[in-house]
Amino acid sequence: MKKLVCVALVVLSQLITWNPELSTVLAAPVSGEITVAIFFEPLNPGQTKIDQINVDAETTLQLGLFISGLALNSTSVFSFQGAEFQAFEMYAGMVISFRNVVIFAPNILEVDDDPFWTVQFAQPDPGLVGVSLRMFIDELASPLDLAKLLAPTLNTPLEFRKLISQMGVNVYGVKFSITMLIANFGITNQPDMHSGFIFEAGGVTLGGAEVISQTYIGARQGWECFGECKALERYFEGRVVPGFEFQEEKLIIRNLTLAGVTLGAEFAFDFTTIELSQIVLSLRISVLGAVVQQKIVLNDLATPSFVSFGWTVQLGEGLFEIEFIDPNGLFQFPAKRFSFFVQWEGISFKDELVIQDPVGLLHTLEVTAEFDPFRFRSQTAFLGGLINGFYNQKVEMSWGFGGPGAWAWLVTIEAQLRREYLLYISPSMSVKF
Amino acid sequence: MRLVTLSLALLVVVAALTGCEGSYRTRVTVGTLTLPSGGTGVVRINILNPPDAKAIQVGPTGFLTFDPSVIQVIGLTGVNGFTVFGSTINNAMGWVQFAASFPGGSIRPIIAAGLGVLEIPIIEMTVQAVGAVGAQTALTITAVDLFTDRVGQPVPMGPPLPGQVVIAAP
Repeated sequence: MKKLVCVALVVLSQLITWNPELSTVLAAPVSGEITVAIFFEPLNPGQTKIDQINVDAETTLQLGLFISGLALNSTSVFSFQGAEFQAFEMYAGMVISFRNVVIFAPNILEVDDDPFWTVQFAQPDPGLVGVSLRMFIDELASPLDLAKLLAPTLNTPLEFRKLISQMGVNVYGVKFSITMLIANFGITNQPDMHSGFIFEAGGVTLGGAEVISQTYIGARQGWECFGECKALERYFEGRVVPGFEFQEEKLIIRNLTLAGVTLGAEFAFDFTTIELSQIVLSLRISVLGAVVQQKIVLNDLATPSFVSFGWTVQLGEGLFEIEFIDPNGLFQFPAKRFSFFVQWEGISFKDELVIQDPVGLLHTLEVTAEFDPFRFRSQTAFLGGLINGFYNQKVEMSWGFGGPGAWAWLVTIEAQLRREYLLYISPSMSVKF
Repeated sequence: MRLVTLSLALLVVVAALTGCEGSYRTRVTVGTLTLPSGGTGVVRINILNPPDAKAIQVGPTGFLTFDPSVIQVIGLTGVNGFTVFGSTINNAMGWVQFAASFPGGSIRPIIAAGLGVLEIPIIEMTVQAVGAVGAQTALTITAVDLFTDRVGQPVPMGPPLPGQVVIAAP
């Protein structure tokens, strides 16, 4: 009987596991989520009363198994073509933490971490190198545009594409970690393996400032994505580049407070060009109850590709942002962004104006309301005028119910109107178990 | 509520000051470039306020004109998804005609977090400076013959905005 009680206690402790990585209480060692989303796109929008449609259906299955300090996760994505993406992730954290991710996909995209998310390498590549993924992963874009862009890369079976292996240890407050990346840039049955390492050391000073140093060998800043490049298929640990050579050194300083001014800085040194390749400076100060923030981003200093200066001022519940942007890096700042955001409990409102010389103007209005179990979001965009020149209307509505350790479900409908026609409509449903 | 009213009023004032109210026009713009004598460089052809721009054609009616005693055009390359399907370069008369499109998509403004970009380059034109130091030439698109959006509809647009190449001392 005593033995039985002991076993029951052990089983109970396993069943009710607090996992800090996932910030959730798990009532069972196995959990998961299945999401089915269908996208309908009219073939000849606005031209006929009865139209044909493009349909894209996507099912995402996430499974997790938690045993004491060990977490095993599986993410699978299926479409009409069959399996498009499969990732297995193992995490074990005690004194030394380990994380291993193995990814299988028909394709691989290496993406620069510049503001436009420029594709640097793709396999297969039907002309993707040089394309700005930001134009496809953006509020105004249709998810079907990205699906159509990447569809030619998804015709082959799943194969090994990436291994991410991380090990971290904390020694007297200094965290050391090593990330090993192995990527397969080859085509079907002709693997072409490349590897890279990222060494990281960082800690927090007594004053609260965080300092991190990163060394990239055979890898660079950036990210990789697979399958249809959806959020679950993106990995931001860095991107592998051919040739196992020193590529970059990065120094990150956060929360450095001097005389009431909170400073942050990121410097990236490029070993291949022997020069600073990126500087990000941020400043935060409180003046007369207002919070002023300034951010300067300089990319690719040899031939600057993007420069921006921004200020954020918080006045009570309202947040004002002003940003001067030069996408060409010529310090002429043809683009300016003004935005205002305010939130009252579950309702938020954002008004944003982007102006670009000589007559470019984009005005967006966004309203979000969240009252459990309902969520509503509307974004209206006007191109070329202030509440004038209607361009796009996006609406998302969700209704769900759930809680930690319980079955949960969420039904969402999303639609986008583009000028005078329906761009797409997408119902989706998620079930957690 | 007063804060919201104030902010909206502020945005109206900003828009009025910038003179943008009601100025909805998609424009084809040509970039500017300063080149050393004998050097080569790239001039960008862009779309400003691009409402799902998919295809563009300058010719047979329209031309991109330049002074052939100042620059010579070497070639045209599509960027940001655009591909130049055909081009005619006449360096003797000083004009270029081209047709380009985005086979897998279309371009639109980018408003992702922290970004606000309304002018997207679609073609890079490589030019070589052949004129003397101080010489300059306007790059003028006389007319856009075809400009369509993602569903093949013509995009209403304003007159193209010219660019310039200036020859500077090396």
